[in-house]
Order: sequence, then structure tokens, then C-alpha cells
Amino acid sequence: MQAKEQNFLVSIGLEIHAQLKTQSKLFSPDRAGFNPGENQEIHPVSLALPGTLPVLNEEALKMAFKTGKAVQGCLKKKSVFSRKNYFYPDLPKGYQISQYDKPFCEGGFIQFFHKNQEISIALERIHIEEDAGRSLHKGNFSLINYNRAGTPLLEIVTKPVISDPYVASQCVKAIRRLLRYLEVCDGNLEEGSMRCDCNISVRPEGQKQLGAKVELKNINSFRFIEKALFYEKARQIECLKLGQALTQETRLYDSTKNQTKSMRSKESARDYRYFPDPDLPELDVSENFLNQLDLPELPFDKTQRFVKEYKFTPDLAQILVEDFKQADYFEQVVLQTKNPQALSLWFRGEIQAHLKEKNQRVCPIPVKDFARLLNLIDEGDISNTMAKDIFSEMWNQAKSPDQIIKEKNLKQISSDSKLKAFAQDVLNQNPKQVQDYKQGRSKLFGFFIGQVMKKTKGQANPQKLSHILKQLLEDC
Amino acid sequence: MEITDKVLKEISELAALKIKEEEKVELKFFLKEVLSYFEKIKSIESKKLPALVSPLKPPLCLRSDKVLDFPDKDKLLEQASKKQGALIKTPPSI
Amino acid sequence: MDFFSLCSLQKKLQSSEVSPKEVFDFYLKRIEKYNPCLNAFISWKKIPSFKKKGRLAGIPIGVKDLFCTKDLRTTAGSKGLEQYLPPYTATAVEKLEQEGAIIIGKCNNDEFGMGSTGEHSYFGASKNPWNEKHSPGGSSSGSASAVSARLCPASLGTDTGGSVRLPANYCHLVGLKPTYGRVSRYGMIAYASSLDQAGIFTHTVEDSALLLDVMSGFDSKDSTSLKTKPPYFQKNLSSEIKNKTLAYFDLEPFKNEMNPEIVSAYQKALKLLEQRGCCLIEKKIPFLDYGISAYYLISTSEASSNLSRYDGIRYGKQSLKSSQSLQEFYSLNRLDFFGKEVRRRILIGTFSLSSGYYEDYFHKACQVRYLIKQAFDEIFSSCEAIISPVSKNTAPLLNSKKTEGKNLSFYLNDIFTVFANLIGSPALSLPCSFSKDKLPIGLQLIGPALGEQKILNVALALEEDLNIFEKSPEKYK
Repeated sequence: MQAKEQNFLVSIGLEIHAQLKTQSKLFSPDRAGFNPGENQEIHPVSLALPGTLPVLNEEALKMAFKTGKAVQGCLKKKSVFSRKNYFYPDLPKGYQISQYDKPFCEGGFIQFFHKNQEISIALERIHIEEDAGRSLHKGNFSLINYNRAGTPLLEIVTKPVISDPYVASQCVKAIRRLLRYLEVCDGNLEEGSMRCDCNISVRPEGQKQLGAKVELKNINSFRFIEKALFYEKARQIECLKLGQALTQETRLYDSTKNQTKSMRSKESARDYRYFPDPDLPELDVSENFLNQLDLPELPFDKTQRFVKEYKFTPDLAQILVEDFKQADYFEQVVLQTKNPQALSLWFRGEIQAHLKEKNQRVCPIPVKDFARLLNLIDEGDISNTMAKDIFSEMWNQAKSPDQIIKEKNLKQISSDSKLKAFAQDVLNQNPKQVQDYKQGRSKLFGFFIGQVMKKTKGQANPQKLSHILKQLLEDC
Repeated sequence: MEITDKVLKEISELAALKIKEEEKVELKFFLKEVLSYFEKIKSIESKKLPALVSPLKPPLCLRSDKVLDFPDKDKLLEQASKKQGALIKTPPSI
Repeated sequence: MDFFSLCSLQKKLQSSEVSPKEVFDFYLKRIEKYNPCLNAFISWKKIPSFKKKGRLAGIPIGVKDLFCTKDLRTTAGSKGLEQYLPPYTATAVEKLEQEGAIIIGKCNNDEFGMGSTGEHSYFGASKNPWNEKHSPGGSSSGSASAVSARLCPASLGTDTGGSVRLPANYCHLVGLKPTYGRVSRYGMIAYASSLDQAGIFTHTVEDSALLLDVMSGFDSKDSTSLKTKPPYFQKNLSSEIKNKTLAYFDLEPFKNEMNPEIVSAYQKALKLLEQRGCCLIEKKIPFLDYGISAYYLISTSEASSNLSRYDGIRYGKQSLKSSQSLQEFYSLNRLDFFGKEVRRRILIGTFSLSSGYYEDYFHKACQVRYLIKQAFDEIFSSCEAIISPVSKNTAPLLNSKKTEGKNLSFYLNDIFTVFANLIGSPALSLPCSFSKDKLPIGLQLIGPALGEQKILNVALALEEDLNIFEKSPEKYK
């Protein structure tokens, strides 16, 4: 298998369309974003009524440039809005205002970890453009909803330097993570606030020129990105092996059948007649504007810092920093517990489970209370099992762990003498099992532990109990 | 500068303008005459010249990010020829 | 009731010598009497509201049907928009209304501003009140016809390549095109975005300055509108132009094409300016052979894109013919929507922007535009304003079979006016003389960008010296 695939090289590039989280649209003051309802968020400008003109949204401009700065792209002081001309019912003006030969950002890169390796994917460019409306296809007619028409989009294009479909989906994740950190996009693939197109081509090893590019449009989950790319890679390699030529085309991924189909549209033949939009002056930002673009700590930097400061593996660190608010919470708790490893387990376990169930973003338990809980575990005052129950209580009610322990009388029994007393009781009450144990039925050890737990209502410190029981049984 | 039937067809498709059969000859003549005249500008040496898109250079015009509901926005699509409920109806656009 | 100047009407209203209702009824009567013949108005108001106070309180003004007026039919002279009602009013018109002006009606025009005779309107051509067999010019044909026949004291037009100055020239009016960006384009149905400007038709220079004062200023809804605060044009009017240096265009290249009466009127005007103490220098029109090409390539290209929104889907007429595909749906709708001239220009523009031709046509035209601007900047570095004729001939005949298939020659007639739009300069046409057959002859003044005051002042001086602005066509006195 390996030998055959070594004959072909794969080049994958990504094209991400991210809806910017502005209040109003890119060139008009009606509401932007995902809004249910039909033709409610509209305005003469976004409907392209006669005589209307575009005016650029200041916040969209800032968000765009922030993103460009975050990927360390070359930010152009001067860039141009161009008209992309074509006819389609969800495009009211008959042209889309976009950026063509003079985008505001060129180059840059996306950094992330994959299998604990540092990966850097080079970007081609980033530009600003407006979104179209939505069409509902009903067989022999279509229905158009203009709510979305005019929403600001950021188009992020990578260079075709990815060769592994898994890396491709990680790259999309990394872009999403970055956009969420910058608070410029929700990054919701299912809802469509972020859309992903993939380009893939294969060529025989040794050939310098890239093969015919196939575009896979609008894949709306990370899993589907991987599956579609794997399918397409295999399909293209198969074609080349059979001596068939591959053509540049657009294909749709069918997730139910796990295959791609040719779109057979004339899209590649379209002449968009790009020209600079005369209604918008050349975009000319000041030095001051560029200097005032404040960036937070970016995901990749935070990941690296977590690796260094807390000694996590890069993959684990990357998971922990996925959401910056959660990462901040993490760090605040760690300051008070000094046990990052234990905390990371809680993070990936209990916290994620609760967040998902309650549909919340950050753990609502005050930092000091959670830290106290972890410290109590460390000191042996409560068991992990007990801690999980206390944790759930704390999530739902604003109580400190000490309060809950007191109320429910949950303190773990760790005193040697007390434990010895309980253990001795159990052994005295179960002489037959003691004898069986001594004759080799070592599995009965669990029975004794269980009995002590029963007597102590689960409060016995398990490690200590185990040690004491062993000792007692030996001495018997 | 020749305007063939093929060129005319391509332009009319790009412009989404059907051309009446009886107007074809006249149109081809018109396009040829006018475009040939415009070809005069080819003789100007312009390799390094900037292209003037707008006569004056106004400074950046930005709009603050506030939602402003258009009064009577329910009426904005009132004059659409074909609707279904609040949505606009068109031939199938796949 | 005999007012020529808007300013004198303004004074009479302010002193209550006449009431707004009297004024309105006076003009309404004239419209109802003469419009069937002149076809200057497509629609007009019968019941005005006199609510607002202001500098223009009670003054009726005609508005070219390219300006959106809320809940008033706005057709752009087109079949497709015949019944269209905009949900908002153009900023330029709003500014007039805020000062109390009454929009008395929507003036006829060449469809979407494309034409120079008025014959390309879906609603038929307007007539020139000086001689009804002749065109009033275009594309603001109705606006000029209306003011010239005194159906309203002033009107608004739009000027993309001369569409205000040319009709003013043919109708014995002052026609002003301000600096690009001086007046907001929001609500002005676009023909060519980088060339369009709102324009003003009046009988006198002072009237023009007054309306310019009201309409100028930055509009946050138009990204291309100038942020520079306009000066007070009316207040700063002065015919004291002694020692100003003025350039005038050499007419040698046109010696066989120009109507000799226009040439002599031109020369007479130059002499008057000399007598005023101006220093006159002769200049050749820069890039004479390329101006028209650059203008038409840029304007049709921009128009081909600006008019893409007219598909009959969200507003406007939808063709009743059934279509097999989406492409056919669009093509049939748009064929029905637009008249011949508009379709011709869309095709040229589409060609000019298309792959393989963009470099040599549209892009090249923009580079030529740069050269033209440089050349004019050079001229303006040594003079206040430039003087030229407005056209080679007086108003052409209407419905002349001679105009069939002569598109190129019509386009070439715009040679004097297109430059001001290409470079964004203010320019005006003012009444200068009459031909033997009593057709008006005008004169053009072009100023540097933001130089409206300069050309208004020179115009005022000439107006004083020529003293012919009160002349009126016999039938419409």
C-alpha cells in the first residue's frame, strides 16, 4: 500500500469564508449575522434599490486588519474594493463588492500543533467581501431571503502546501480558534458563520507543476473535511493510475454516500469582469490605525506557554487553550493549586461534560472555590469520587466546598486509628471471608474495602484504607 | 476590430441581455464602428501610468457599527413582481 | 406674476407680496397648459404641502426623474421603472425640501441619463421651447425645457458627460455641474459612478449659486462625497474679475465642423472678458483625440455594472414572456426593461471590461484619464478658469432620419463637455447669444476642482455684460 502511494504527491489548499461578528452589515446599517426570519434584516442599500450607495463599516475594517496582523501577514496601507460581476438572484446588485488584485493582506501563516509537531501553513492572502442572500430551492422555483445579503466576510486563502487531510482539518480548526480568540467570528461550521472550501490536486512524484485543481465546496464539519479529502485524493490517484486526465472542476461532497460529485456548472468559465468599485475610494488606512490594532495573546503563543509553564504536551496544551476564556480560568485556578496536571484531567473530564450538558461557555464555579476543592483532594481530605459530587453541587449552587462537606458530613476519614478501627470491625464481623482470603482468594480484598466503605458511607480514604487492611490481614 | 456573431453572443450572455434577431446587424455595425474608434487610445504609451478610477481622492469614509432600522422596512420588497409570503420567488437557480 | 429669477421670487415670498399657494398655482397652470406639447414633465404634483420654512420656502422646483423621491414615481425615463416608487428621497432633493422648496414634478430625461437629445426616453422626447422642432438637449432634456418655458423657476438635472451643460446651452439657461463629490449622489440613479454629478438649471448665475449653497455638503451615505466644507457661494459672488488670468480653447481643430455663429459668439465673449481686464491665454485642448474614447469607455463600463441590478426581481417590470432557464429569465426581463440606447451602451461597457479586452479598453481609458487630469492640472496652475464653447452646433432637430445609425457622430459632439467629468472639475454653461434662427448659443466655463466660486464669478461678469438672461421664447413669455 505504502509503496503505491509514494508515487503521488498531494497538494491541498483551503479557502475559508468567515462571517465577521459586526452588528451591522459591511456596507449598510441593517443587522448582520445569522438571523432567523424572512426578509426582515433589509435596507435599500443591501437590496440594491436604485440610487443606493455603499459605506464601509468601521468595525469590519478593524476586525479584518486585526486578523491580518494576527497571522503576521503583510498589511497593505492601500487596498482596493473591486466589483465581481455576475447575475444570480441572491446577489441584489448583480455584482459582489470584494477585493481582487489589491487585497488588504498578503502572505502570513497559521501555526498550530498536530501530533505534538509544530505546523506552519503559509497563507496566500486575506480579503474583505460581502455575503450574498440565501436561496431555497423548491424544484421548479426558488425563494430568496436577503437577510444575509451584505453581511461582512473575511476570505482567508492558504497556499496549497498541505498534504495530509488530517492536517487540513486541524488547520481549519486552528483558523477557527484564532478567529474566536480575536472575537471576530463565531466560527460555527454547521450554522454557516464559517464556511470551508478545499482545493486538492495530485501529481506524480517528481513532477514540479501542480495537477488539475479540484474544488470541494462548502464542507460543514471537520470530519467531513477529512473524509471528503481522503475520498477525493483516492479518486484522483486512481484516475491518474488508469491514465485518465483530470480537469479543473468543482465537486460537491455527499456525506451520506461519502463521495464527491462533479457540479457540472459553468462556474470555472465565468468572466467576472473585475474592476475597481468607483463608489468606494481607495482604502487608505493610517499608520495610527495600524498601531492601534490590539491583539490578545494568540492561541499558538498561549499553547507554547502552557507547554513551557505547565509541562503539558503540545497536543494537550492546544486542547486546554481551545477557548480563551476557559484557558484564563484554568490559569487562575492553577495559581492557587499548583497542580496543573490534576487540573488538566478535571478540565478534560468533569468540566467539559458539565459545559456540554448545561450549554455554557466557562465553568461558573468561583476560582478560589474550585482551587480549594482540588487542594482538599491533594491533602487527602476527600476522595476523587466525593470530589466529583461536591463539584456538581458547586456548579449548580454558589457554595464553597467546605460548606458542602459540612452540610453533607462528607469529610474523608484519613486518620490511621479510625480507619484501623473500622477495618478491624469488618474483619471481626467476617471471619469466614478472612479465612478464605488467607487461603488464597485474594479477590476478597475488594470485598473488605467495600464493607469498610459501606460502614464509613464512602468516606474512608481509599489509599490509606488499602494499606491498613493489607497490614491487618497480614497480622491476622 | 471585427464583431462576429460569436462575440456578440458572448457579450450578450455576460450582460444578460437578449439580442433581438432583427437588431443583430445594426448592433454589430454599431459595436464595430464605436469600438474601432475607441481603439485610438491604444496608441498612447501608458506602461507605467497609474489608472485614475475616481477623479478626486476623498479620505476614508467609514460608518460606525450601529444597527439602524430602516423605517417602513416591511415595504421595501412590496414592489417585487413575484413573492411567496415574505420571500422573493424566482425561476430555479441551481 | 412675472418672475425670472428665483432670488426675486424668494424675496417676494419672504415679503409676502405673493403667497406660496399663488406661486404654486401659477406654475401648475402653466404645466397643465404647456406640458402636453413640451413633454417636459413625466409626472407632477397637484397638491403640494407648504409646511417647511427656509430659504426656498414656497419655491417650486422640477427634478430630473433620475432622482429618487419618496412615494413619488421615479422612472429614470425607462419602461422598466415606469411604476417604481422609491421608499426614500435623494439627499440632494431632501436638502431642497428641508429649505422649504416644493418638488413640483419629475422631469423627462434620456433613459438612465444616456443620450444627448432627449429622444431616448421611454416617454418620448421633450421639446425645445425656443423651437419645438428642435431638441432641448439631453440627457436632462425635460429639466431644461421646463425652466426655459418657465414651468418652474429652477430644476435639477444630472451631468455625466455634459447632460446639464448641453441642454442649458440649447435652451438659454445657466447649467451648473459642481465639483465631483460636492453634491451627494445618494438617491441619484447611477449611470457612471465616477462621472455623475447633480446639476442645476436656472435663469441666472445668482440663482445657481443659491441652490448650490443649499445642496452642497458632505453626506455620510455617499462615500465619494467631499468632506471639505463648502464656502458660501451666493454670498461670495462678485463680478470683479479684473486681472484674472483665463484660458480659452483654441478652436482650430474644429474649424470645419463648428457653426460659425457659435465661433463669433465665443470670440465676442472673449473680447468682453478682455474689456473686463482679464488676461486671456490660448490653450489647446489636451488629448483632444482621446477624450471621447476615454469618456465613453469609462462611462459605459461603469454603467454596464451599475445597471446589473435591474432584473425585475425586487422591483421594476418583469417580462411576461416565459423563460426556459435562469439565464433566459434575466435576458428577457432586461431586454424588455431597457430601451435601445441603454442596451447598446451596456454591451459596449460589458465588452470593455471583459477578459482579454479589459487591459486595452477600460484600463487604458483610466490611464488616459490620469494623463488628461495631469494636463488640466497644468493648465489650472496658471489660470482661474477655462473658456470654451459648449457644442459645435445649435440645438439639433428632433426625429431627424439623419440621426439613425449616427451614434458615433452624436458621441463626438460631446467633445467640449466630457473633460470636466473626467477630471471632476466644476463647469457651467451660460447664455451667450442667439443664432440667426433664434436658437440659443451658450458658453462654457470650466474651473479647477473646488473652484465653483471662480467660474460663478466669471459667469456673473459675463451675465452682466451680455444682459440677455431675461430673454424668453415668444410662446412662453
